[in-house]
Amino acid sequence: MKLKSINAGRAFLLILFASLNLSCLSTGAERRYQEAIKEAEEGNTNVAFLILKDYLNEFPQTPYGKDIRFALAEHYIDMQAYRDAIKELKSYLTDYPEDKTMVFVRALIYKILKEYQPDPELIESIESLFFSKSIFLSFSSSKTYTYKSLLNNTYKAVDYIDRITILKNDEILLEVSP
Amino acid sequence: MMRSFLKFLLNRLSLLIFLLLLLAATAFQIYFSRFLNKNKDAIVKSLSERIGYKVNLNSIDFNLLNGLHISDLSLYDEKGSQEPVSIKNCYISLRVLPLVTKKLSVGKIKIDECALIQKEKKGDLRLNVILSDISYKFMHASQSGPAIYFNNTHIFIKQAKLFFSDNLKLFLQDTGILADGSGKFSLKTDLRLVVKPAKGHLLSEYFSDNGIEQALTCLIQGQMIDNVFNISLLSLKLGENNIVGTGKIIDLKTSTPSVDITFIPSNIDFEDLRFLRENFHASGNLLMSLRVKGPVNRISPYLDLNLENCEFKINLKTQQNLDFRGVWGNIAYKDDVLNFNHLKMRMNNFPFTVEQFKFVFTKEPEFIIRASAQKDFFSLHNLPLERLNIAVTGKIKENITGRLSLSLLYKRRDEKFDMGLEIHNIIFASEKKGPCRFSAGKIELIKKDPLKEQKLILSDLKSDFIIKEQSILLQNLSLNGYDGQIRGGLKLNFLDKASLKLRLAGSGLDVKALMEDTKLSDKILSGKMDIVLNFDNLAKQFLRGTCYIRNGKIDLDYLTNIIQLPSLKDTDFNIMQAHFIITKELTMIRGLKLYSPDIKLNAYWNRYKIINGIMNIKISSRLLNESMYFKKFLEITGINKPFIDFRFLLSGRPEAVRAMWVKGEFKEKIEEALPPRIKKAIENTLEAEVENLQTKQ
Repeated sequence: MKLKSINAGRAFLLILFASLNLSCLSTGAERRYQEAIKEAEEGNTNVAFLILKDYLNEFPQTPYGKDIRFALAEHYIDMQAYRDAIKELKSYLTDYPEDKTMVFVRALIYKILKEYQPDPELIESIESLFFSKSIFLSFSSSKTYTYKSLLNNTYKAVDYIDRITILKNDEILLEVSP
Repeated sequence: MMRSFLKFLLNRLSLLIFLLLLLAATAFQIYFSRFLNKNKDAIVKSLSERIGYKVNLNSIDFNLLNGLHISDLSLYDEKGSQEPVSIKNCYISLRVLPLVTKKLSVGKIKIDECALIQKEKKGDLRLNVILSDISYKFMHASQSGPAIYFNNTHIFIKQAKLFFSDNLKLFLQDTGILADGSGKFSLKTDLRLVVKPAKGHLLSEYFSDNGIEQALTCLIQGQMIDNVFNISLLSLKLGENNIVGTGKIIDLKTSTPSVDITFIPSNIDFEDLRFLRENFHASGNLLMSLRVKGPVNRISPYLDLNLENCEFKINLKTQQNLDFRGVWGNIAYKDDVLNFNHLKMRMNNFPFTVEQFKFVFTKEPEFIIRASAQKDFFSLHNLPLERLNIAVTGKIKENITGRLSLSLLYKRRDEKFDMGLEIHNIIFASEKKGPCRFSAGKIELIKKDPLKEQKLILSDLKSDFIIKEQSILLQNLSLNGYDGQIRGGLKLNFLDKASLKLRLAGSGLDVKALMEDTKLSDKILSGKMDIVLNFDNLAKQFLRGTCYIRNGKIDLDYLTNIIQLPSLKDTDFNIMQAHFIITKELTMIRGLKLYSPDIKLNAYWNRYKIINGIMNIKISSRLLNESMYFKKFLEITGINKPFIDFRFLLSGRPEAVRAMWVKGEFKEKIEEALPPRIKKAIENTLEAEVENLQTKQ
């Protein structure tokens, strides 16, 4: 009986220690994430990229994973590492097919393919995805979706009846017609 | 002096002896001729008895130079009604020396003109029996006369006619025959073969009045042993080409001798085949292998032809012809079956390959054709096709009957459609005057793509079928289907660019069944349709049409769901009308009109990958008042009209239409009256509805 209560006490201490340890780790991760955001806001996108990449390697199941992967792809594009960018964006498409950011991911792939790696079949299939949903414009002439990335870029998709315009930081990134 | 006198005397004596001999010979000739003529009847009787056939002759005389001369010699059959052999003038020279030993040896026979009739009796051939019989009786002594020897006998026949039947004749010119006593035999002649298909025969209309007429030089060498004639060489010279064969004829003395002759593969230039050149404008070369085998009255040839770049033209009827060019491939004939194997050709400028052609020559010939258009045809004529296969099976009796299958792969931009046409119970009835009548039973037209299968089933096709130059026309075309009638015409042209023009007008077609089969729309539920269609593959707008549907039902739930009106699934309409145009890039609907008690629709749009159009809808206030939202909107706007106008711009892709409500009186008043928050809420609701509808679809 005595032995049993000693063991239970040890188990409690062990769980408590583990919890404290994880909590510390978790706080450290959040700090690193916030650090990356801060670097991005200050314009140090290279530093932000390195922190975010390292962070994602270490915590692949993080709830920030979707935004981090978008930011990584953005940075690859800025660095003209298009192959890495496409790879990252394609896996994004597979992992988050119903996400609202999808229009921007498609836009980035589309732009790379159009300008740097022409692949007519893929371009056409992405083109058709832009217009895969019906819309009904009743009182306004367009619908707008926005997304602010971790690298501090604001993306805007404006859905008109006859075209979609994608803007990055209020500059036209691309315009697609059905 | 004396010497010159003796010389003079000798000359005179020689002359005298010569004159005496000449006189004696003339006297003998006159005497013998008179003797022969005097005893003509006895000679005829003796000759008839000798050969066993009734003989008739006009005169018989003797000439020192030419020997015996018989004029108008003829042989009669048992009934005495026909002359199997008749000879105009025959000269027979006997050798003198054998006469000393009482032998009759024929040195030379010369015939000016003779006619031989190969009589058929109960399907048996007779002339060969008669000639074999006569020659046997001549060559063997009997009570009625001595044996006649034919040792190195030269027979020369200036002209001979050999009639096998009313349809098959041989004309021989300058025929030389050398026969020796051992049965060896050689013959050389210039031959003209004339075959006239019987009137009404399938082939008769393809040949001119002369039928098949072909000249050739024939050389035969062989030996008769007992009842068998062994042919060591049979050479048929056609122009520059020689067709050479060997073989034998057995049972020659019977009424049905059998032939077995094999010709070594030979090249033939169609230029040398007059009957093909004149009747079919044939040209080109072929390599022929031929074996002729069987009883002479039922010869079965084994024929194998390899054609190289040949050309033919077949005149089917007045103004109708089939023009074959660049024909390459194999044609084989065996046991009454004609087979074409992988035969490439261009018919009326239409390049295609006959993968299989089988024609069985029976009383009611049967045939199978499997052919495909060559790929260069599509590119040459700029046709949006990748495959065109035709299969026909049929029978020829009084008419041509059968079944036709057509399979094609149609390409429109980057979409491909598998299309098939099945025409059952086809009848081509050839009229003596006027065009062919073409009729058919069930007609199935099926179009497949990865998503759906569309079909059109018609029946009772009736039409005039005309082939004219390089065109095929179906005139006065009529069809039944979907409780209605379709009339029109079709023209297929292969002249410069392959063109297909089709004009059809249908009336009273049952829309429900038509839509179920064609899957053109699942929204149009019933009605009676009148339609006019014009198809011209060369025109930019290759399909144009107008259709009217009367007294039908339509499913307008798609429209009403968005704006939350009561269900209009079975909306009655008085008339729906659409003009449509299809180009290689676009499907344009011009003026789609629909009139129903509560909805009047007027729309037009273009469609290829994208939709581009306008839709005007008038919805009755009665119907709008049934919607909670619209009832309020009508109250807010204060509009009190029987119908409210809505106008929408249409865009996007056919599978995800984008619509925008264009400003009008109703919209403007709603916008003025509603606060932005409510408008936003309405917009969100509508967007959700649209999304919901798309998901359902």
